[in-house]
Amino acid sequence: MKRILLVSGLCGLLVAPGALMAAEFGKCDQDTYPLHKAVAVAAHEAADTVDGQWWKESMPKPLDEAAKAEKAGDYERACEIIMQVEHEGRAGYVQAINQRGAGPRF
Amino acid sequence: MKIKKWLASLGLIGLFAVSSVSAKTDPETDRKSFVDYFKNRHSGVEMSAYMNGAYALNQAAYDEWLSIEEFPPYELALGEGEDIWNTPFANGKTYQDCFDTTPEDGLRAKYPHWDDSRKQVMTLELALNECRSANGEKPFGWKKGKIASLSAYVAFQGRGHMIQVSIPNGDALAAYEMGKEFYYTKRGQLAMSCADCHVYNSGNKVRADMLSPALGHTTHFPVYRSKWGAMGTMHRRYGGCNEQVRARSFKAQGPEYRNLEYFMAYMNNGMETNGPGARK
Repeated sequence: MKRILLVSGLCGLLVAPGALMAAEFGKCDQDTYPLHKAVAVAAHEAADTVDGQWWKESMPKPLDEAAKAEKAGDYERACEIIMQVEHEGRAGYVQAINQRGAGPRF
Repeated sequence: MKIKKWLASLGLIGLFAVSSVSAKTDPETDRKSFVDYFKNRHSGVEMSAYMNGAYALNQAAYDEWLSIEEFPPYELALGEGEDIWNTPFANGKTYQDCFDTTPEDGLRAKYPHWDDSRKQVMTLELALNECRSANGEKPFGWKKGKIASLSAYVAFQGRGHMIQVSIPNGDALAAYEMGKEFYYTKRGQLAMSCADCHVYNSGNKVRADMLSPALGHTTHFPVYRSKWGAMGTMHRRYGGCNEQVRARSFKAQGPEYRNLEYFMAYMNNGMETNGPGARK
């Protein structure tokens, strides 16, 4: 029983990041759209925790547009928007971390 | 053996302390290296010319600007500002009652400064609006319109006074450091800092416009910008700059922009004020 639990736990650990990676870099379609949307929102929330610049301005409008596209069944458009939102959240996070304590280059 | 370990530990602590101290520079060292950078970058430009912004770097643009200054577009704002300044509040008091310096004696050059009782940077526009509030009047907006006209009048009357920003204590130094970090931080979707344009690329062109040098930036505000077709305060311009690099702009007269103004004005210490200005 212990061995089964251990193996299933290990498999879970291996599979979970894989699923996230698929959401991050994988194809976005009708099936994977909800996962991409969750990752996009999480990326922006992460950027917010480090005072990243882009989350507040760039998220609400595109999310509305993506929701409209999803409602209309246009997953190609919805995915295009949500991938952009995800990219901005990540970039906002990285920028905020990289630029802490910035100073002159001379 | 124990002594050796102690010595090694002490040596490491010493090294750490030295590196920590050397990593922190003082504002005056910052200012000197800032000024030296521009002296090297634009070697033919006199220090006093930097108060003219981008026009210091190009003779043809300078000549064109001089002809604009013959009938300056900020003239109407000066008249409006004078009227506002001289009109008593409903309680009979005037703006002058809020200040111990007259515009003619360089009220403009007294700002920004560190207010230690409030632990914050005070700017001219903030002081003017607080004067209104203290006398029962509704404050003006922060970026344009009457506040810009009033600020323009104060600046014009005090032309030629020297910027002498001081950093009196640790709290003021912290505000300066925040302003400095803001200035050099890349932000927005274009990942550009204030310095990327106005330090490292000053004098280069962005499409048809020349990027003005940071040295002298705070001498001539508020400005009449042809793009706006109106007057605007320094914080209006800050917001525009942030948005141009696709970044979130901050609130005019919020702590971010006030600290930024404090840092930028310190970099301009020793320069004459010549506001208001006319810019593209």
